Amino acid sequence: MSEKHKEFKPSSWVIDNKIAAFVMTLILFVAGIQGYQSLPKESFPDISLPNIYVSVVYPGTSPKDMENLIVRPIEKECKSIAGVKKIKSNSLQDYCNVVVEFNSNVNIDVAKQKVKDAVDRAKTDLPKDFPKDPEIIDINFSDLPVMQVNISGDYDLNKLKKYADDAKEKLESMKEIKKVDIIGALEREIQINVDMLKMQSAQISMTDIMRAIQSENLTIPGGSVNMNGIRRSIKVTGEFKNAEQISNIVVQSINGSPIYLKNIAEVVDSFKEQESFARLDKKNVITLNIIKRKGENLIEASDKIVALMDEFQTKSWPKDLKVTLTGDQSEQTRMTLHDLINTIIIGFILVLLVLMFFMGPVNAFFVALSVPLSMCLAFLVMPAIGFSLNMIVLFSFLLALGIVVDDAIVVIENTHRIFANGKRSIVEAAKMAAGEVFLPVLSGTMTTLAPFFPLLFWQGVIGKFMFFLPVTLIVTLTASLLVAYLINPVFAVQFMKPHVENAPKKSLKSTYILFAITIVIGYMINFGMGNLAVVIFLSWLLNHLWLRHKLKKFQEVAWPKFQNKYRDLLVWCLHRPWKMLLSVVILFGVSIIMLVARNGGISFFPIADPNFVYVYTSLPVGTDQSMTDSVTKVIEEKVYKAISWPNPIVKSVITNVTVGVTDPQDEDQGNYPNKSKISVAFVEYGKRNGVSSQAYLDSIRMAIKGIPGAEITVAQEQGGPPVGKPVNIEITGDDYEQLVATSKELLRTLDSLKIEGVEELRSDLQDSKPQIVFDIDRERANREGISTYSIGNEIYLGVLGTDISKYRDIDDDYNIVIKYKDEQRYNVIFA
Amino acid sequence: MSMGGMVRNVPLASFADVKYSDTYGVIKRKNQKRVVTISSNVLSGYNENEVVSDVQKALNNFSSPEEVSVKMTGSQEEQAETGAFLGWAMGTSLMLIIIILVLQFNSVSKPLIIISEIIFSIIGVFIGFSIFKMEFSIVMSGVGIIALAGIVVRNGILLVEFTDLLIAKGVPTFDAIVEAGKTRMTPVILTAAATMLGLIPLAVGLNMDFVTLFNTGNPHIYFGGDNTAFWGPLSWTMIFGLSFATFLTLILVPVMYLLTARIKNKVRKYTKKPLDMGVAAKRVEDLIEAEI
Repeated sequence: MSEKHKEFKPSSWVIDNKIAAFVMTLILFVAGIQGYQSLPKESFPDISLPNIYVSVVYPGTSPKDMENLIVRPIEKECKSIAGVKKIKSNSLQDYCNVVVEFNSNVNIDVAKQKVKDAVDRAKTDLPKDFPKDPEIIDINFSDLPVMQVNISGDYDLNKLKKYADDAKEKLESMKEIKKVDIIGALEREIQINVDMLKMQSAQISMTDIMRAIQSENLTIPGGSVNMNGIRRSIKVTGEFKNAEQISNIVVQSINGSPIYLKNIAEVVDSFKEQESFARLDKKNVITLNIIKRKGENLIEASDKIVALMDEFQTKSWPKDLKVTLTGDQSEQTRMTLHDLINTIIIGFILVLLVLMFFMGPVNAFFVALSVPLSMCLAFLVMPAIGFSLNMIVLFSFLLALGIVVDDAIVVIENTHRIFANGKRSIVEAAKMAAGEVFLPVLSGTMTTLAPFFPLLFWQGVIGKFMFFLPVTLIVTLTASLLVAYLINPVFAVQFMKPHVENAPKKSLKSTYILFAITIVIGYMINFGMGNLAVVIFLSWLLNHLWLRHKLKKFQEVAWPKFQNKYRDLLVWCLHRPWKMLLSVVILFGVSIIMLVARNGGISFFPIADPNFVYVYTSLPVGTDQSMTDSVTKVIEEKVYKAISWPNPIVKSVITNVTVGVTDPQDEDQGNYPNKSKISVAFVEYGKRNGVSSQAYLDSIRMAIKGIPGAEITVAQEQGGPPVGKPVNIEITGDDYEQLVATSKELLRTLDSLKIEGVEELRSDLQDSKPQIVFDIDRERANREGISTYSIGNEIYLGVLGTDISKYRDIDDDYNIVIKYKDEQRYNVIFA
Repeated sequence: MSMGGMVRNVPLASFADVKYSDTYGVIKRKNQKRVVTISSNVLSGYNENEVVSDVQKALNNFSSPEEVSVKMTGSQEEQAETGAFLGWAMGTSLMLIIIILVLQFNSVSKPLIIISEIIFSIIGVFIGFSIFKMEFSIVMSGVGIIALAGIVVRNGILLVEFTDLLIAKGVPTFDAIVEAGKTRMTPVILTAAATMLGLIPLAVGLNMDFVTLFNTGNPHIYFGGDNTAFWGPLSWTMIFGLSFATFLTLILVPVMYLLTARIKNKVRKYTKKPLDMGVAAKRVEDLIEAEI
């Protein structure tokens, strides 16, 4: 062996500056743990797809006109934007939206700006009289409900709503929370229910009433007057204090006799018609649907929400107000991460064991040390590249476990060999060893990483999702290189001792004392730490007294025997090389045939057992919310039966009507009176005692069949990246009538085939929105001096009702709404 | 309904007809074309891809007017895109590996040996999935096969490099191969075993809680869970692939090394040129000290 040996400078430097290296390691550990704790945690990564959503409200426009007047010009401008992948649009009555989907590598802010510009350009072709400007927002899948707070109790709805409002206000002031939707609450309002017949005989129109109220309910500043050197400001106050005041206003005086509002209408301090319903475990509740802001730490947000609700319950809210938290998304995240971290520990122990067999406990320990150290380094890098700690990152660590130790193995083994039981000074041996293996270790790691580099260029949703895997592996393996070069040699220098048979027993005393101190400190921290220290001590003792002799035997007797057996096999094979090669090639063919002949099926992305099952019900467009609610109650009953409620593995069942009823993966997050959603939440996997929640998904599907008129879809929560529906057929064309006919024909054909496995084919065509058309004979109307506008306006005011003014009390302001009395409002005969 | 004008009330019925009718609730468009979508979930217990291909068959038999086009999209589209990408990624990573290997060995035959090892390691994946009748996930198993390549290559390099080294030292080819196999068997098995053992807890879905184990003595052991459902296919792909690849490294790589050496010998006899082993040997000169 030549004395002039290669050295890897940085390695040699740290070996000479051991203290610096130890301090560095310690800092790395502390900083790594710190980094781990501060990383935002989530089960699935936040994927922000550059989807921009343009919505326009233009009242009084039919879907077809909406399409022509607004959607087409916007689409025309948007399609020329670079990087646009798809443009989708929905034109509804009075409303339309355009969704511009960009390629996944486009920055979402840039995309939003580009769409804004395009809409601005399109404005010249658009009508000018929008009630408000087109809204342009970016859709985010991570703006999802993270938790629901359900409030119930023996209080009137007004009171409950007040509690809900309190909570909403506090929640919305948290930086993690984007918004809070209240479902199932009643909205207070002052209603002016006009008796049409009385109004007619008084020769008053809705517009007159509206004008009268608007000109009374006012506070007007009137400048200021100089009085004895003091400027007094003048205020004319006319705002209503209660409903009675409103009913006492004079609407009009005809022929000298005043007509009070109370003569022709009833003024009540009441509630809006209930628009949404929420039920938890069959009881009516008010649900606060809490939506998290993207990029915020889910676990922290959920902790804060829980703490806040606790504070409300103990301090400001009455004791008998029942507050239930459901749908806590962080639970699953905690569970997933917790399980995965423990799996990493199991994996680590297994790797440690296998290393021990081949390298002996001391070397195995040095080698295994590189795993937590590399991970700590990775934790330091991850915040800088905007990573969160999610299940993909953790899995990548698991995958890296076995690979990370490779680098350390080479370095430690080489040091051990050169050191050769003290024939050379350990410092020199470590320097030589690091220098020698620098290149092989580097190239080995590079080849291991090579396949992961192409994965960095994965496009699309799945690509964004899996992106974390190659990056984490590359970061961790690079970190392991650094650990192998810079930290492992130092530890080797410090702790590698020449192995001498019959070593003096005296040296053990200090070890025992050290262990005793560690155990005491451990118990002082907490019970678990103490137990851990005891276990470490016992395993050390076991190793010292018994295991190391066994291991030695394994290394010196059993393993060489196995090696010789392999050698014989290899020689046998080498004597018939062509046959061997041929049989492997044949085996390749056989394996393909085997896979084709017998397989467990091919899926796109693995699906886990459901943690949530959602039952989406959609009734024909135009169905009233209370009708939807009563149909949903029937379905709810069936669902309860299907899951044999009360069931220990079902945590809660929540029903929502109108609000929060769309699939969270949909772009469409609107409110629909004709839709409802029942969410069944299951307890965590570990507590299900082996009962599969998948079975309940099927039983619910079976149970809800046969409800006429209702379209019901049963789905489980989307795990992993959002992907489209498995069966999705698009029928495109320009002629709408033809399109409709074809889609109906196709639906009939497919239904008649009864393809197995298809849940229920459903068309998104809505061709049966009921309406009443008033065909105006313009000539006759004009002869009476009436315009179409005034007819429309009068009908609109009377039927829909409208907010004409605000009523203020100390806390809040409420709308004053004018409409016909209910019995006249819903009766077409009165026309 | 009436209009309270200046003097008169005019009934609405006198100048308007009232009709009940139905209208379109929504018009949807995609890429500037009007579109109607028919969709469905697939019942559990059925394989998505099979159901979809049945639907596709039905679509093919359906005749639609010329101006109207009928197309399957949804997860099918994404699946095709993903499959294509993974194929590209596999090809690219093989190219990268070949470049690294050619640079390292300055030879074509040796990279070929190692590349064939990667390809054959898929045998293990296929057989494993077939025997245990596991569901093959395009994304997860695909990524698994790609990830496998790197680890398989590393083991292959270890062996080929050392054989080269021994030959350069003057050991006859056959003996060198046998000796290299025997010496390199331990690290090869160690690397593979460490990687496989790291993944096994996830593959079988073993969950236990170390914090409660030490605090209360109850490890809360259970099997399965979301993590296993997601990562199981990837883990098993790696485990099946690696176990077969270990066999390949220890048997097939030596066999192929011998074969290429013999072929080269024949070629050399034919062209009467001496076989140049010097370059490869020099590269690994450092290892001579390390290993002998």
